[in-house]
Amino acid sequence: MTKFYHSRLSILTLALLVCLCSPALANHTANLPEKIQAGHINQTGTLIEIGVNGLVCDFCARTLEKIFMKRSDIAGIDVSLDESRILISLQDGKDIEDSALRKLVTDAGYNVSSIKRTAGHS
Amino acid sequence: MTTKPMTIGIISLCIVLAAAQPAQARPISYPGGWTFMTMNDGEQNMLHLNYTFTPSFSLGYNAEYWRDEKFQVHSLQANNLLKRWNNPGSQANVYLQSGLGAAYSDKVPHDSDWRPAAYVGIAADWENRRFYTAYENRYLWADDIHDSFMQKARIGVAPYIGDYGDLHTWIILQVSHTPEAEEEITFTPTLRLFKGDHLAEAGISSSGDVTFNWTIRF
Repeated sequence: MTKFYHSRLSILTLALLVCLCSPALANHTANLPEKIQAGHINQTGTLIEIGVNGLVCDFCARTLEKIFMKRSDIAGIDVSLDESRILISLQDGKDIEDSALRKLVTDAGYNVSSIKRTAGHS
Repeated sequence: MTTKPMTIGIISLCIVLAAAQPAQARPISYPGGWTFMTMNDGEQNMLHLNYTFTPSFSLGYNAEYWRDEKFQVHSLQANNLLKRWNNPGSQANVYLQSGLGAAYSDKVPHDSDWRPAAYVGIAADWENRRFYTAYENRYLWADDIHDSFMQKARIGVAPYIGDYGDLHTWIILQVSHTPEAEEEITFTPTLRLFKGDHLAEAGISSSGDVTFNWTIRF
């Protein structure tokens, strides 16, 4: 009898954990932050996630934000120190080559570790 | 009648607080960006305003006032980033800081004298999001007004880790070696608060002097 209750309790706990984690997993999959720090997310434009080495403080984050937001083809940017990445939302029909992205990050004083693109994520 | 002395006092306090030791926070911003820094400790008050031309070079005005010896230095200061290491989760930098200008003193035997002044120093730092360490030195020459070498080292820890836009807190211990000073070696526990474009530090040294630093980028 006790074993039966323990099994049910385990299954319920597992189900509860799955329910609690689902929104987080879904959000991670969509790759969108809850709020963006500068500009806005363009739902129909390309989203680019850039991994950045050396991104350790608010001055670094602010530098990248200002450098990228100078460009008219960028709708918004989100910087995450926790994930060492920046997320860039492009205006409709716009694209920026990887080499140009690397140059922007290098000119800001940092290095690129990875670049991932997601086209039109609405 | 008491308004005037109070106003003078407030202005004086602002001037005292408006001083900078550039190496305490990165002296180079992003191309097109401005940085204003102040630093005040038991020996001196300094201020520094610079403009960043390239990711590795900024140029600005530096003013400092040494209280005990009662002299000022006004200079054009160049900040060169000699080397940066960007790693996943950490960053390290080495800077060369040099200045050229003039020193002013009205302390005997000087009588409102101006003299040429120059200085050069190296600053290095390493940090990740939990720990921070830094070292800097400087040799200052101002003809017969002043001639000295100083160095500082720091180690800091963040009690919690915040993301971009959060208030970041650091607890720092600074060790200063100033051979010219009455107390050659001093220890200064410092609290740093950092958010967005603002960085402020306050501490009290082992000799009882208050330290206040502030940096803003715009």
